[in-house]
Amino acid sequence: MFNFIRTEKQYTKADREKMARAPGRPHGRVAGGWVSDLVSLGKAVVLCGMCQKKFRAKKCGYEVRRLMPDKPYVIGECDGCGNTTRDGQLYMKRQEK
Amino acid sequence: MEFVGTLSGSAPILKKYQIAATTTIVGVPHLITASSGSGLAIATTTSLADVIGVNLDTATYVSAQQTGNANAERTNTFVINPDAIYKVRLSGGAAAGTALPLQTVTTASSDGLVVTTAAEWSSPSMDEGSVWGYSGANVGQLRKITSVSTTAGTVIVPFNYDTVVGDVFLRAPVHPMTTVVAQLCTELTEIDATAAVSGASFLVIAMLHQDLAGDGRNQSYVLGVFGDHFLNRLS
Repeated sequence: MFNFIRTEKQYTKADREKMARAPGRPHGRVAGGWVSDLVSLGKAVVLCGMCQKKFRAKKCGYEVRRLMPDKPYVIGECDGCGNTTRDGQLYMKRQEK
Repeated sequence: MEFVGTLSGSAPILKKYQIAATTTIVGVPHLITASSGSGLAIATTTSLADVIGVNLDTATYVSAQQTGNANAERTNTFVINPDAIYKVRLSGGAAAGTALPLQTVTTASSDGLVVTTAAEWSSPSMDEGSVWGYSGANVGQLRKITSVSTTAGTVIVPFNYDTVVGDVFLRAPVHPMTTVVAQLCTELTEIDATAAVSGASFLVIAMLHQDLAGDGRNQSYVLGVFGDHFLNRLS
Protein backbone atom coordinates (compact mmCIF):
# COMPACT_ATOMS: atom_id res chain seq x y z
CA MET A 1 0.00 0.00 0.00
CA PHE A 2 1.42 3.35 -1.05
CA ASN A 3 0.25 6.75 -0.14
CA PHE A 4 0.94 9.45 -2.70
CA ILE A 5 1.16 13.04 -1.64
CA ARG A 6 0.37 15.27 -4.59
CA THR A 7 2.22 18.55 -4.62
CA GLU A 8 2.09 21.45 -6.99
CA LYS A 9 4.42 20.93 -9.95
CA GLN A 10 7.66 22.75 -9.41
CA TYR A 11 8.46 24.59 -12.59
CA THR A 12 12.06 25.40 -13.16
CA LYS A 13 13.06 28.71 -14.70
CA ALA A 14 13.87 26.81 -17.88
CA ASP A 15 10.31 25.45 -17.92
CA ARG A 16 8.93 28.93 -17.58
CA GLU A 17 11.15 30.20 -20.40
CA LYS A 18 9.83 27.41 -22.61
CA MET A 19 6.22 28.20 -21.70
CA ALA A 20 6.71 31.85 -22.61
CA ARG A 21 8.12 31.10 -26.03
CA ALA A 22 5.73 32.08 -28.77
CA PRO A 23 4.76 29.15 -30.98
CA GLY A 24 4.91 31.26 -34.14
CA ARG A 25 2.92 30.60 -37.29
CA PRO A 26 -0.07 28.33 -36.55
CA HIS A 27 -0.23 24.97 -38.30
CA GLY A 28 -1.93 25.25 -41.65
CA ARG A 29 -1.53 29.00 -41.87
CA VAL A 30 -0.09 30.31 -45.13
CA ALA A 31 3.25 32.03 -44.58
CA GLY A 32 2.30 35.12 -46.57
CA GLY A 33 -0.84 35.67 -44.51
CA TRP A 34 1.06 35.25 -41.27
CA VAL A 35 3.71 37.77 -42.28
CA SER A 36 0.94 40.13 -43.43
CA ASP A 37 -0.61 39.90 -39.97
CA LEU A 38 2.71 40.78 -38.37
CA VAL A 39 3.09 43.70 -40.75
CA SER A 40 -0.39 45.02 -40.03
CA LEU A 41 0.45 45.00 -36.31
CA GLY A 42 3.74 46.78 -36.94
CA LYS A 43 5.75 43.89 -35.49
CA ALA A 44 9.36 43.04 -36.15
CA VAL A 45 9.72 40.50 -38.95
CA VAL A 46 12.65 38.10 -39.35
CA LEU A 47 13.05 36.43 -42.75
CA CYS A 48 15.59 33.94 -44.04
CA GLY A 49 17.45 34.35 -47.31
CA MET A 50 14.80 32.52 -49.33
CA CYS A 51 11.79 34.28 -47.83
CA GLN A 52 13.36 37.73 -48.12
CA LYS A 53 12.92 37.54 -51.88
CA LYS A 54 9.16 37.21 -51.48
CA PHE A 55 8.71 40.10 -49.06
CA ARG A 56 8.21 43.54 -50.56
CA ALA A 57 9.32 45.55 -47.57
CA LYS A 58 9.06 49.00 -49.11
CA LYS A 59 5.48 48.42 -50.21
CA CYS A 60 4.58 47.37 -46.66
CA GLY A 61 6.22 50.43 -45.13
CA TYR A 62 9.06 48.32 -43.76
CA GLU A 63 12.81 48.60 -43.98
CA VAL A 64 15.82 46.45 -43.16
CA ARG A 65 17.12 47.22 -39.69
CA ARG A 66 20.74 46.49 -38.79
CA LEU A 67 21.09 46.13 -35.04
CA MET A 68 24.88 45.99 -35.36
CA PRO A 69 26.67 48.08 -37.97
CA ASP A 70 29.12 45.32 -38.88
CA LYS A 71 26.61 42.46 -38.76
CA PRO A 72 23.96 42.64 -41.44
CA TYR A 73 22.32 39.41 -40.28
CA VAL A 74 20.38 38.21 -37.28
CA ILE A 75 19.93 34.71 -35.89
CA GLY A 76 16.35 33.63 -35.34
CA GLU A 77 13.35 31.77 -36.64
CA CYS A 78 12.09 32.88 -40.03
CA ASP A 79 8.56 34.26 -39.78
CA GLY A 80 7.94 32.93 -43.28
CA CYS A 81 9.09 29.32 -43.40
CA GLY A 82 9.68 28.85 -39.67
CA ASN A 83 13.21 27.53 -40.10
CA THR A 84 16.02 28.74 -37.90
CA THR A 85 18.22 31.04 -39.90
CA ARG A 86 21.72 32.33 -39.27
CA ASP A 87 21.56 34.84 -42.08
CA GLY A 88 18.17 36.31 -41.38
CA GLN A 89 17.23 39.86 -42.10
CA LEU A 90 15.35 41.94 -39.56
CA TYR A 91 12.61 44.14 -40.96
CA MET A 92 11.05 46.91 -38.89
CA LYS A 93 8.39 49.46 -39.62
CA ARG A 94 9.95 52.40 -41.46
CA GLN A 95 10.54 55.35 -39.18
CA GLU A 96 9.50 58.76 -40.44
CA LYS A 97 12.53 60.95 -40.83
CA MET B 1 17.98 50.85 -24.10
CA GLU B 2 19.42 50.27 -27.48
CA PHE B 3 21.15 47.06 -28.48
CA VAL B 4 24.49 47.96 -30.06
CA GLY B 5 26.48 44.73 -30.13
CA THR B 6 27.74 41.72 -28.25
CA LEU B 7 30.91 41.04 -26.28
CA SER B 8 31.53 37.88 -28.30
CA GLY B 9 30.92 39.50 -31.66
CA SER B 10 27.99 37.18 -32.36
CA ALA B 11 25.09 38.35 -34.46
CA PRO B 12 21.97 39.28 -32.49
CA ILE B 13 19.72 36.33 -31.65
CA LEU B 14 16.06 37.25 -31.90
CA LYS B 15 13.18 35.35 -30.33
CA LYS B 16 9.49 36.03 -30.03
CA TYR B 17 7.98 35.54 -26.59
CA GLN B 18 4.56 35.96 -25.10
CA ILE B 19 4.29 38.94 -22.83
CA ALA B 20 2.37 39.46 -19.62
CA ALA B 21 1.90 43.21 -19.85
CA THR B 22 1.27 45.84 -22.49
CA THR B 23 4.35 47.51 -23.93
CA THR B 24 4.07 50.87 -25.62
CA ILE B 25 7.73 51.70 -26.14
CA VAL B 26 10.67 49.68 -27.42
CA GLY B 27 13.92 49.12 -25.59
CA VAL B 28 12.34 48.02 -22.33
CA PRO B 29 14.10 45.15 -20.49
CA HIS B 30 11.93 42.14 -19.77
CA LEU B 31 12.37 39.46 -17.13
CA ILE B 32 11.72 35.75 -17.08
CA THR B 33 8.12 34.75 -16.61
CA ALA B 34 7.02 34.98 -13.00
CA SER B 35 5.67 31.90 -11.29
CA SER B 36 2.04 31.58 -12.41
CA GLY B 37 2.68 34.42 -14.84
CA SER B 38 1.39 34.37 -18.41
CA GLY B 39 4.49 35.65 -20.15
CA LEU B 40 7.62 37.72 -19.86
CA ALA B 41 7.36 40.37 -17.18
CA ILE B 42 8.52 43.95 -17.48
CA ALA B 43 11.55 44.87 -15.36
CA THR B 44 11.36 47.40 -12.57
CA THR B 45 13.47 50.47 -11.91
CA THR B 46 15.48 48.61 -9.30
CA SER B 47 15.45 45.01 -10.51
CA LEU B 48 16.90 43.35 -13.57
CA ALA B 49 17.07 39.87 -12.07
CA ASP B 50 16.85 37.09 -14.67
CA VAL B 51 16.49 39.52 -17.53
CA ILE B 52 15.82 38.10 -21.01
CA GLY B 53 16.49 41.13 -23.18
CA VAL B 54 14.83 44.24 -24.54
CA ASN B 55 11.82 44.36 -26.82
CA LEU B 56 12.10 45.48 -30.43
CA ASP B 57 8.38 45.96 -30.96
CA THR B 58 5.27 46.59 -28.88
CA ALA B 59 1.98 44.83 -28.17
CA THR B 60 -1.21 45.28 -26.21
CA TYR B 61 -1.68 42.48 -23.71
CA VAL B 62 -5.09 40.84 -23.50
CA SER B 63 -6.31 38.12 -21.19
CA ALA B 64 -9.80 37.57 -22.58
CA GLN B 65 -11.05 35.63 -25.57
CA GLN B 66 -11.23 37.78 -28.63
CA THR B 67 -14.13 38.48 -30.94
CA GLY B 68 -14.39 35.93 -33.71
CA ASN B 69 -11.94 33.65 -31.94
CA ALA B 70 -9.08 35.87 -32.96
CA ASN B 71 -5.72 35.02 -31.49
CA ALA B 72 -5.32 36.37 -27.95
CA GLU B 73 -1.62 35.61 -27.86
CA ARG B 74 0.52 38.73 -27.78
CA THR B 75 4.21 38.51 -28.49
CA ASN B 76 7.19 40.79 -28.71
CA THR B 77 10.54 40.22 -30.38
CA PHE B 78 13.54 40.23 -28.06
CA VAL B 79 17.29 40.29 -28.45
CA ILE B 80 18.27 37.45 -26.11
CA ASN B 81 22.07 37.39 -26.34
CA PRO B 82 23.33 37.08 -22.76
CA ASP B 83 26.41 39.15 -23.62
CA ALA B 84 24.45 41.86 -25.40
CA ILE B 85 25.82 45.37 -25.03
CA TYR B 86 23.28 48.12 -24.59
CA LYS B 87 23.63 51.84 -25.02
CA VAL B 88 21.68 53.56 -22.27
CA ARG B 89 21.08 57.26 -21.95
CA LEU B 90 21.84 59.01 -18.67
CA SER B 91 18.76 60.89 -17.55
CA GLY B 92 18.72 63.82 -15.16
CA GLY B 93 15.64 62.56 -13.33
CA ALA B 94 13.22 59.73 -12.81
CA ALA B 95 11.56 60.48 -16.14
CA ALA B 96 13.31 59.51 -19.35
CA GLY B 97 14.49 62.41 -21.49
CA THR B 98 15.35 64.70 -18.58
CA ALA B 99 18.53 66.72 -19.02
CA LEU B 100 21.38 66.09 -16.60
CA PRO B 101 21.58 68.84 -13.95
CA LEU B 102 24.55 71.17 -14.21
CA GLN B 103 27.00 71.18 -11.30
CA THR B 104 28.48 74.67 -11.14
CA VAL B 105 31.58 75.11 -9.00
CA THR B 106 31.01 77.46 -6.07
CA THR B 107 34.39 77.08 -4.37
CA ALA B 108 37.64 76.82 -6.29
CA SER B 109 40.01 73.89 -5.84
CA SER B 110 43.70 74.65 -6.13
CA ASP B 111 44.68 71.03 -6.65
CA GLY B 112 41.94 69.90 -9.03
CA LEU B 113 40.79 67.23 -6.61
CA VAL B 114 37.49 68.60 -5.38
CA VAL B 115 34.37 69.69 -7.21
CA THR B 116 32.43 71.84 -4.77
CA THR B 117 28.95 72.89 -5.80
CA ALA B 118 25.70 74.02 -4.26
CA ALA B 119 24.21 70.59 -4.80
CA GLU B 120 24.17 67.64 -2.41
CA TRP B 121 26.66 64.86 -3.28
CA SER B 122 26.13 62.46 -0.40
CA SER B 123 22.38 61.95 -0.54
CA PRO B 124 21.72 60.37 -2.90
CA SER B 125 25.34 59.37 -2.84
CA MET B 126 27.41 59.91 -5.97
CA ASP B 127 30.33 58.03 -4.40
CA GLU B 128 31.97 55.58 -6.83
CA GLY B 129 30.31 57.39 -9.70
CA SER B 130 31.73 59.68 -12.37
CA VAL B 131 32.22 63.42 -12.70
CA TRP B 132 33.31 65.12 -15.89
CA GLY B 133 33.91 68.62 -17.16
CA TYR B 134 31.03 70.17 -19.06
CA SER B 135 32.60 73.59 -19.54
CA GLY B 136 35.67 75.37 -18.22
CA ALA B 137 39.32 74.36 -18.30
CA ASN B 138 38.61 70.70 -17.57
CA VAL B 139 36.02 70.24 -20.26
CA GLY B 140 35.64 66.61 -21.37
CA GLN B 141 37.83 65.14 -18.60
CA LEU B 142 36.20 62.31 -16.66
CA ARG B 143 37.23 61.14 -13.21
CA LYS B 144 35.96 58.57 -10.76
CA ILE B 145 34.43 60.00 -7.62
CA THR B 146 36.12 58.41 -4.61
CA SER B 147 34.41 60.22 -1.77
CA VAL B 148 31.59 62.68 -1.28
CA SER B 149 30.38 65.23 1.21
CA THR B 150 27.22 67.28 1.40
CA THR B 151 28.60 69.85 -1.01
CA ALA B 152 31.44 68.22 -2.90
CA GLY B 153 32.70 65.26 -4.82
CA THR B 154 36.35 64.32 -4.43
CA VAL B 155 38.56 62.49 -6.89
CA ILE B 156 42.00 60.89 -6.39
CA VAL B 157 43.35 61.51 -9.87
CA PRO B 158 43.15 65.28 -10.20
CA PHE B 159 41.64 67.18 -13.06
CA ASN B 160 44.37 68.63 -15.27
CA TYR B 161 43.55 72.17 -14.24
CA ASP B 162 42.39 73.75 -10.99
CA THR B 163 38.65 74.07 -10.74
CA VAL B 164 37.49 77.66 -10.52
CA VAL B 165 34.20 79.23 -9.55
CA GLY B 166 31.85 79.05 -12.50
CA ASP B 167 33.29 75.86 -14.01
CA VAL B 168 30.51 73.44 -14.81
CA PHE B 169 30.61 69.68 -14.35
CA LEU B 170 28.21 66.81 -14.90
CA ARG B 171 28.00 63.72 -12.74
CA ALA B 172 26.49 60.25 -12.74
CA PRO B 173 26.34 57.47 -10.14
CA VAL B 174 27.96 54.97 -12.48
CA HIS B 175 31.55 54.32 -13.57
CA PRO B 176 33.04 51.81 -16.04
CA MET B 177 34.16 48.48 -14.62
CA THR B 178 33.07 49.57 -11.19
CA THR B 179 29.36 49.95 -11.10
CA VAL B 180 27.31 46.77 -10.95
CA VAL B 181 23.96 48.38 -10.34
CA ALA B 182 22.03 51.30 -11.73
CA GLN B 183 18.57 52.64 -11.11
CA LEU B 184 16.42 52.92 -14.19
CA CYS B 185 13.98 55.64 -15.12
CA THR B 186 10.26 55.09 -14.85
CA GLU B 187 10.11 54.18 -18.54
CA LEU B 188 12.93 51.64 -17.94
CA THR B 189 14.80 52.77 -21.03
CA GLU B 190 17.34 55.07 -19.38
CA ILE B 191 19.45 55.26 -16.23
CA ASP B 192 18.39 57.73 -13.58
CA ALA B 193 21.66 59.58 -13.01
CA THR B 194 20.24 61.45 -10.03
CA ALA B 195 19.65 58.30 -7.98
CA ALA B 196 22.24 56.69 -5.76
CA VAL B 197 24.42 53.83 -6.95
CA SER B 198 21.93 51.10 -6.22
CA GLY B 199 19.20 49.15 -7.88
CA ALA B 200 19.21 46.94 -10.96
CA SER B 201 22.16 44.78 -11.92
CA PHE B 202 23.80 46.50 -14.87
CA LEU B 203 27.54 46.37 -15.54
CA VAL B 204 28.90 49.54 -17.07
CA ILE B 205 31.60 48.97 -19.69
CA ALA B 206 32.15 52.50 -20.97
CA MET B 207 31.01 56.04 -20.46
CA LEU B 208 30.02 57.99 -23.55
CA HIS B 209 30.12 61.28 -21.70
CA GLN B 210 29.71 64.52 -23.58
CA ASP B 211 30.56 68.10 -22.76
CA LEU B 212 28.92 71.37 -23.71
CA ALA B 213 29.88 71.03 -27.36
CA GLY B 214 28.35 67.56 -27.50
CA ASP B 215 25.19 68.53 -25.61
CA GLY B 216 26.33 66.48 -22.64
CA ARG B 217 23.20 67.14 -20.63
CA ASN B 218 21.11 65.27 -23.17
CA GLN B 219 23.58 63.16 -25.12
CA SER B 220 25.57 61.33 -22.45
CA TYR B 221 25.26 57.56 -22.51
CA VAL B 222 26.80 54.46 -20.99
CA LEU B 223 27.53 51.11 -22.62
CA GLY B 224 26.88 48.09 -20.47
CA VAL B 225 25.65 44.54 -20.14
CA PHE B 226 23.06 42.99 -17.88
CA GLY B 227 24.64 41.54 -14.76
CA ASP B 228 21.97 38.94 -14.18
CA HIS B 229 20.87 37.64 -17.56
CA PHE B 230 18.70 34.56 -17.44
CA LEU B 231 21.01 32.68 -19.80
CA ASN B 232 24.25 33.73 -18.14
CA ARG B 233 24.20 34.93 -14.60
CA LEU B 234 27.29 37.02 -14.15
CA SER B 235 26.49 38.24 -10.68
